[in-house]
Amino acid sequence: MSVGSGCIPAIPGAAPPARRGLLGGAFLQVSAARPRAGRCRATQHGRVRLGGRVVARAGAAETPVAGTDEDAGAAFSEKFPLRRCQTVEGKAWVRVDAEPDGDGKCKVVVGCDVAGRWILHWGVSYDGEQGSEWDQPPSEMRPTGSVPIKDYAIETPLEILPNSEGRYEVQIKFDKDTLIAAINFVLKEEETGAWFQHKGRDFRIPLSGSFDGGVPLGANQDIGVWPGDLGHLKKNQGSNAQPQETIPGGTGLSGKHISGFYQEFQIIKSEYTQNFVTVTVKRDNETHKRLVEFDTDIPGEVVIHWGVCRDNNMTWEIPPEPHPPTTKVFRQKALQTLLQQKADGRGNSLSFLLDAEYSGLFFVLKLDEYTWLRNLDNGSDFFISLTRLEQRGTTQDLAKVEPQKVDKSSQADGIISDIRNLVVGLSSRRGQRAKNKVLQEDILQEIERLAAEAYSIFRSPTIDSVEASVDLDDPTIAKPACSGTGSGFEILCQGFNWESHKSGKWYVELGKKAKELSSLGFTIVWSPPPTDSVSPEGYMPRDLYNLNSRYGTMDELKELVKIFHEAGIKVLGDAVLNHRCAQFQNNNGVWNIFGGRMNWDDRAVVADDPHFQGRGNKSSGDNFHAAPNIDHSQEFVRNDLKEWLCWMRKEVGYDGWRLDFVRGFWGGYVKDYLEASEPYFAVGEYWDSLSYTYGEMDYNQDAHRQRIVDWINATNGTAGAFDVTTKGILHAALERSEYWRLSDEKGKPPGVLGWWPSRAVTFIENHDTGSTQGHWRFPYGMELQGYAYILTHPGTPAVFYDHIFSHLQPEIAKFINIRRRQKIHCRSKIKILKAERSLYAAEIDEKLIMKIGSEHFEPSGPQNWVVAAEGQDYKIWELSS
Amino acid sequence: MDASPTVTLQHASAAAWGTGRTRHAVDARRDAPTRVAFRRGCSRGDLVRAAGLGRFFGAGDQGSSKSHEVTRSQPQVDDLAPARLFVGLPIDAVTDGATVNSAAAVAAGIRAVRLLGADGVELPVFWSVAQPESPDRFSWAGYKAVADMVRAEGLSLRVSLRAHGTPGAGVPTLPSWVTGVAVDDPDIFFTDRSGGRHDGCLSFAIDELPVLHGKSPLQLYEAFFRGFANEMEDFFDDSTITDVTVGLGVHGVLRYPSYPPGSDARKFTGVGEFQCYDKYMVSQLRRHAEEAGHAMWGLSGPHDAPRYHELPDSCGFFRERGGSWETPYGDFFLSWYAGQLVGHGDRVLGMASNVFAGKPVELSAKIPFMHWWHGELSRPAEAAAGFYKSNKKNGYSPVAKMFARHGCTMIVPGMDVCMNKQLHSAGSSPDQLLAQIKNACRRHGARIAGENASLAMTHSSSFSRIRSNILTTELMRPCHFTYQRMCADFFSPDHFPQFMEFVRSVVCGEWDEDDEEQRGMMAMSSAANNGNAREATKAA
Repeated sequence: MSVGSGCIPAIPGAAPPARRGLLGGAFLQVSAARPRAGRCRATQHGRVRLGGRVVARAGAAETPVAGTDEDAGAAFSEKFPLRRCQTVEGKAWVRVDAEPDGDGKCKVVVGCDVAGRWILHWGVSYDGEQGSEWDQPPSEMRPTGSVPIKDYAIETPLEILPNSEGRYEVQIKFDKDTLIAAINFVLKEEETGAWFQHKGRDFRIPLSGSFDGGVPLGANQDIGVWPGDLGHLKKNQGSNAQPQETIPGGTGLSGKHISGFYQEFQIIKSEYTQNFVTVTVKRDNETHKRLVEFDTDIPGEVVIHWGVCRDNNMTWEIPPEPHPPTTKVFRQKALQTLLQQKADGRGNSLSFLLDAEYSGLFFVLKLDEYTWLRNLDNGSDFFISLTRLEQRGTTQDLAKVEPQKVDKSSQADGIISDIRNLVVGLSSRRGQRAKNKVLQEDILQEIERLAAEAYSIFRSPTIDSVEASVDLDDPTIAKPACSGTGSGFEILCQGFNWESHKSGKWYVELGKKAKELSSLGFTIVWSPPPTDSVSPEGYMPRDLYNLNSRYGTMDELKELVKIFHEAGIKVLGDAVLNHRCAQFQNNNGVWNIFGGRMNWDDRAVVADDPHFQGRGNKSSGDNFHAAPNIDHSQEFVRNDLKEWLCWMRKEVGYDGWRLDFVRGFWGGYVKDYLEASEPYFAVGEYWDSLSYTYGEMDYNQDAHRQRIVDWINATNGTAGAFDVTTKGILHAALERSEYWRLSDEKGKPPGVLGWWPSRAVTFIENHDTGSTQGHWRFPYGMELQGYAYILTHPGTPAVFYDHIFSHLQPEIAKFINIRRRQKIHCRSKIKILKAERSLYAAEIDEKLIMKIGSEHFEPSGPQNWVVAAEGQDYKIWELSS
Repeated sequence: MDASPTVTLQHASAAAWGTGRTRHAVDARRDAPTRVAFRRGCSRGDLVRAAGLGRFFGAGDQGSSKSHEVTRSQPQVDDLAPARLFVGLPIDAVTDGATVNSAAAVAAGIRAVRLLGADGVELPVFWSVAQPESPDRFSWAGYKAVADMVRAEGLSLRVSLRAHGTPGAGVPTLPSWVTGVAVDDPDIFFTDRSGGRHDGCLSFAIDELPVLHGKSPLQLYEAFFRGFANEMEDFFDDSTITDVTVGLGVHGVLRYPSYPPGSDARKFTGVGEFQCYDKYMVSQLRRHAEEAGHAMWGLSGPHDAPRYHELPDSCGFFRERGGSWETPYGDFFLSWYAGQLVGHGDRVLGMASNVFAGKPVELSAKIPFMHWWHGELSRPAEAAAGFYKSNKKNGYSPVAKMFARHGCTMIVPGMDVCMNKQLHSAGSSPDQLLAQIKNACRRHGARIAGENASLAMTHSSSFSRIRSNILTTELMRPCHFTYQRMCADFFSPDHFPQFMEFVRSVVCGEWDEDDEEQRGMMAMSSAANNGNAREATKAA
C-alpha cells in the first residue's frame, strides 16, 4: 500500500518492533504518557502540561551519498529529517443552558478552542436505564451535519464560530421535558485521530436528575483524564476564574430538573512537525582534527546526546576533554551538549573539533527529559562515519562507510531506562478500559484470522502441510488454466519510485529508458498505477476508467506500452482493487458513492469499516482504513472489475498485473479476476509482519510464508506474490551477520522462494520500503548482496528502479547477465552449501555457485568454477564451459 | 463376570487437582503467555459467576485448594471445583503415526482456542495409528508433535486413548495385524442375531482370551497404554497432559455396537439389536445360564427382540406391557448382557488405572447418551447397548459404581441435546436421561464431565443448552467440558462465530485490566492497532 505511513501494514523495520511501538505507535502513546500524570499532578500549579511526552522519530538522510561528494573542500554533510511531536494546549467546555430559548428548547453547547477538525461523537441515555449503553438521539435533537454511527451514536462536527479567533462549538437543542437522562460524548479530532475522553470514560452531561452509571460532569473533582489515541483533557483547576462555573448538585438532584452549568477542560493536542538536523564534517587543516557541525531548525533548547567510536567497533566512548562548551558528561557513557541558538532564532547549531582518530560519531537529539529524536529509518541512534572524508571518491569504499547498525548494548543508558519506564508504566496502569477494548478487539481479530486460516486449510486438503507445499512446483501437479507466471525466465523491473509522479510525464521518461532496460535483460516492467487518483502516487484510485494521471495521459500510457512491447518487454499495470475513493457523499455526508463508468453506491463498500458506512458484506480480508474498501463479494462489483481489467488489457495493452494490497480481500476473488483477464504475469502484494520474539526476528518464518502461500493458493496459483519473507530474512541476515537464517530447517531457502519458487517474486526494495518513503529500507550498502542473492536464486527477481539507475547498475547488469547466461529460472534447483554466521553459499542448477557474507569461501569439487562476479561480501562463480 | 482385579485408583482424583497448581508453577516458569485472553479468576459474590463463569477457570487461582481435596469415598460434588473447557482436535489429526495432518490448521486452531480462553484441547489417540503394522513397533511421532504444539501454547491436553478407530476419518478401526486374525476367526468381532459382524469391534468376551497372536486384547490394550505412558512421559511430568480418557468400546464409548454393522453409530437412533452371537459370547452366555440353573436360556439371545429399525412394540421382547423383558428370562438375559459390559469396562479401567498410577492425571471414560426410546418403560435402545434398568433401578448405577471404584470421571456426551429438537415419536428424553446419569453418579460418587454430541451447526440453541448444563448450580456439575470437535465445519463462518460467542459467554468475557494486557500484547504477534479505538471508546 502506498499512502502515508499510518496506513502501511505493520512491518517492523530494522529496529525491534517493541521499541518501534513505544516510540512511534499511536496505540501506545497515551499510555506511554501515563506515568507522567502522577508526577505532574504532584507539582501542579495552575495549568499543568500533561502532554509533555513528545514522541518523535527522525528519518535517515535522503540525499544520495554521491551528491555529498561534490561539497567544497574536504567536507561532507548529511541532512536527516526529524519528526517531532508538538503539543497545542487549549480548552474545551461544556455549557448547559437550562433556560428555554424562544422555541422552548434548552441547549447543550460543547466547544473547544484548539485548531483542528473536531467531531462530537455522542449518544444519549434515557431515564431509568442502567449502565452506560448509548442510544441514538431522536432526530430532532441532531444538529445539521450529524452522521449516525451504527445504531448507537451520532457524529456531529464542531463549527468554527465567526469572529471567535478559532473557537469551535456545536449546539444540541432539546426539549425541557425530555425523557433523555443524559448526553454522553467523546471528542474526536479527525486530523490526528485523537479521542478525548473524561477520566478515561465518556463525558456525561446530565439533563435530568437521576443517573446511575457514568461519571456525570461536575460531580467529581478528580483529574487523571486519559483519552484515546493522542492528547487528553484535564479538568481545569479553577485558577482561571470562570464567570459561570457552577456545579450541579451531582447525584443529589432529583426529579425533572435541568440545571444550567458550565465547565472547562484543558485539552492538549499533539501534532507532528517536520524538522531536520544537518551534520557537516570538515577537515580542519590547521589542527588535523575534524570539525563537526550540527545544525537544526528545531527551536528552543536542543541537546545532542553523543559519543564517538574508533575503528569499526561501534562502541560508544567519550572523547577526552576539552569538550565543547555547555557539555555535560552523562553517566560516563555519553556527552550531552547544548546547541546554541542561532542568531536568527530559527533553530540551533554548534560546531566543535574532534580528534582524527575516531571513525564514527553517534548521536541522538534530546529536546527535554522525555523527548528523544532518533533515526526514523531504523529507530536507533544516528551514526556519522567520520572516515568517509578519507575514503571519498571510490565506490568500493562506500559500502564500508555507510552507517551500520548500532550494537544494542551500546545504547545510552538513559534511553534504555526511558523505554523501560514506558513499559513499566504500561503494565502497571489501571483503568485503561478503552485500550483494553482495543486489545480485546485485536485478540478477537486474531482469533478470527486463525479460524479463517484453519478453515481454509481444512477445506482444501491439497495444500495442508509443509511437505505438500514444498512440491508445489512438481510438474505432475495440474497447472491452473492460466498460470500468470510468464515463461519462468522473467526478470522484473519496477519502473517507478515514490517520486515519479512529480515529473508529470513519467510515461514519456520511462519510455526513453525502454531500450536500456531491454539491453540490461529485463523482460517485464511494472508501471505505476494508471488511474485517476486522490493521491498523486496513484494508490487512492477514484475513477478507474480515467487513465489520465500524474504519470501522464492515457495516450502517453498506450505509447509507453507500445514502446516496451517493441523492446520486447511486457508491461504490468498496477491494479488497486482493494479500495476506491468515492466521488460523492451519501445522505450522511460520508464519501461512499462512486461515479464514472462504475457508478457504484454504498453496497459496494464493505460493512465493517465504520468510516465509510458501507452496506456491503463484511470484508473478506484486512481493511485499509484510508479509503472505502470494496466489497468483492458483490457480484456486480466483481463483474465490473473483471470488465475493467479486460478493458485495460485490450485498450492499454497491459500484459499483466501487479495487485495492490491483496491482504484486503479473499484470494479466491483474485482468481476470478485473473481467470477473466488472463494476464501473462501477475503478482500480488501480500505484505504483513514477520514473526518476532522480544524484538528479535524469529528464525522460523514458516507462518509468515504460509500466509503468503495460502493467498497464492486461494488464487489457485494464478498469481505470484512478492516474497516479503525473503526480504525480511535478508534484512536480519545481512545487517546482523546472521547468514544462518538463509537456510530453513529443511535446508531450503526460508522464504516463499523455498516453498513455491515459481510463485515467489523476490525483491529487496520497492516504492514503499525504500525510495523516499523508506518504510522498511534494505540494509544500506548491502543491496548488492541482496541482488546477488535474488538474481541467482529461483523465483522471479524484481529490481527496483532506484537501484537500476544508480551506481549499482553495472553489478546488477552483471548479475542479470549471469542469470540469463546460465538460464536460471523460477524453478531452478538450489542446494544450500553453507549457512553460517557470516557466510551463505549455494549452488543453483549445478552450474552456478554464489556466496554472500564476509567469510572466505571457494567452491570445491572436480568442476572448474570460474569467478563471474565479485564484490564487497559477495562472489559468484559459474561453471566454465 | 466381575473378575477384575480390585485395584483401586487412589491417585486419580486427588492428583488431578494437585495438577492444577503444578501447572501454574510450570506456566510461570515458562513465562509463556498462557491463556491470556480472558479473566480467569472471579469474585464469589455473584451467584451466577460463582456457579460457573469464574469457576470455569483456574483451579489454582482461587486459593481454595482445601476444597479440592477429594477422597474416593466422597463424590466430587464440591461446588467450588472449577470446570475446565477443552476443545477437541480433529479426529484425523494424526492418521499415519508419523506426521500431523493439516499441521498449520491444527496449530492455528490450538492458538485460536487458547486466545479464546479455553483450558485445553482433546486429542484422540488411536491404537490403529500408533501401532499400525505389527505388535513390535509403535509410532508416536505424530502425537508427540501435536502434544508439542499444545505445550507450546501452554494449554492442557486431554488424550483419549482409543482401541477402536473411526474409518470414516481415515483411521482404521483396528491395527491391520489384529484385523488379520479375523480372517481365520471372525468370531472375535461382535455379531448380531443374523450373523452380521461388526468388523473391527472386538467382542467383550475375548478380553482375556489369547486369541490375537497369542495375546489377549486386554494385554494388547495395556501395551498400547503403557507405550503411550512411557513415550509421553515428559508431557505427563510437566502436566501438559492433565486427563486421560480411556476408550472402552466402539468410538471410545462404553457400549455394545447395537447399531447395524457398517452404519454410523452416531446417526443411528433406532432400538438396535443385541450383539451376543459371536461364539465367545454365546459360550459365556451358555455357561452363565448353566450356573443359573436355566441351561435352556443360554442357547441363544432373545428370539423375540426387534430388528435394528423396528419399533420396540413390533415384537414381544420390549413390548411396553407384558414384554419378555419383564419376565425372569428377560431379567436374566439383560442382567448378563449389561454385566458383560460393566465387566469389560471394569477390566480395562482397572488396567488403565494401573498403567497411569502415579501420573498426575485425571482418568475418565465415556458412556453413550442414548436418549431415544428413553420414554419406553423397557428402555430398549439403552438395553441393546448394554444399559439395563434392572429391577426398576437406575440403569447407569452399576456403571457409575464401577467408574467410582476406579476414580474415573464419567463423560456424558450429550450436553447439547435439546428435548425440543428430538423426535417425540422416538420417545426421546434427554433431560430425564441426564438426570438419571447424574443421580447414578451422585449416589456412587463418580464425577461427571461433558461433551457435545455434535457440532452446534443447525441449532444455536444447542449452545445455550450446553451453557446451562455446564454452568448449572446443581451438585452434579461437569468438572470439564469438551467441545467436539475441530474440522472444516467447526471453523466455518456458519459455526465459528457462534462458538466464539459461546466460549466468551461461559468464560466471563470480562477483561483483566492489569497485568494480563502486557502478556496479551506479547501473545499478539500481529496486533493490528487500527480503527478499533473508535469502537472501543463508545462502550467505555
